[in-house]
Amino acid sequence: MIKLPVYNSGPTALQPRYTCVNVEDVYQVDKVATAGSVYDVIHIHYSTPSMDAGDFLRASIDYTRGTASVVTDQDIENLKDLIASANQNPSSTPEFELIGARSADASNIDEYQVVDIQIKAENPASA
Amino acid sequence: MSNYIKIPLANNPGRSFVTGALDGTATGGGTVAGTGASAAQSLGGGSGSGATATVAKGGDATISSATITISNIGEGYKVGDVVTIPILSGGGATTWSAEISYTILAADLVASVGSVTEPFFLMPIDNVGAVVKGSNNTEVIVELKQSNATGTGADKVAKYTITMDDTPATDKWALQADVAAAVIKAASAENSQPEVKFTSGAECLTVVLS
Repeated sequence: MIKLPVYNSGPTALQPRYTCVNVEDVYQVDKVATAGSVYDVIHIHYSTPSMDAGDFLRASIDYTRGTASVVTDQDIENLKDLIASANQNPSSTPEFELIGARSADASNIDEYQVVDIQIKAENPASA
Repeated sequence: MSNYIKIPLANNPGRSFVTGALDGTATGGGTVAGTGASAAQSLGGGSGSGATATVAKGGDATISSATITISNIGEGYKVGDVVTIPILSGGGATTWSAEISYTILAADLVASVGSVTEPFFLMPIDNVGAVVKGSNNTEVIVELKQSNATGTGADKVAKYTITMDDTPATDKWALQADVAAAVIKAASAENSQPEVKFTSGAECLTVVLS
């Protein structure tokens, strides 16, 4: 399990509260663009099969707040490392924060906080 | 062995009516006359406010055969509350010559499963995939890392839907963080059963697995 800061959840944008995502059995992490080259969604793919043949579960972590591209290649590498670390320490719940949040201020920090998460079943070969 | 969180279930919280005909039988009302549903009348008494209902004469001149239908659902009513509708003597439709009295049943109100003997919902968290905001400010979803047999896309994934009362008001992201805090705590401390602490005193009505 990892925790992620949630948009509009705390007393101020600089004091977010957290949600959590299960990262056991994750085999792949991608950044996804919702429009053009605006990368603001992360997909984590599980090796957990769905009831339908060929389908597996996938979590979509959505940071879409505007037109800012907030997810970088380094974020994906950092998340992979965090997932590996979390799985080696089962009782830990480390925090994942996008790199851009470190230099953000009160006016735009919420662009680096999670707006939505959804777990779906899909066929990786056709996704 | 599984880890759990405890979700407190409100015991007969004040809540809204559901629209439609009341489930029980009213008393009083004197002589009921006329035809067709009356104009909506305010409900007095009870612990809530804001509800209105129409009355339509039934097969005889008593209120027990009439149909009382909620128009405005109001807020803050409890099972066992006695609400009243004052005399209505005009208006061209159903009338009644004495105050109507009605004792609220569970089926008349928004569903709530908490009770003295069921104060908590015990949710296993070992297969939790993510804690997700609901579609509105009275809902939070716990999606499981587990497939469901039917549906497409997101509907293929099993989930708990936690439904909150709309009063006191809260926020879907705050609710999400409330539940996630308990899940994170349980995941970090085996054999603990942390209780969800809802922001702003929000009250949980139901938890449904689908």
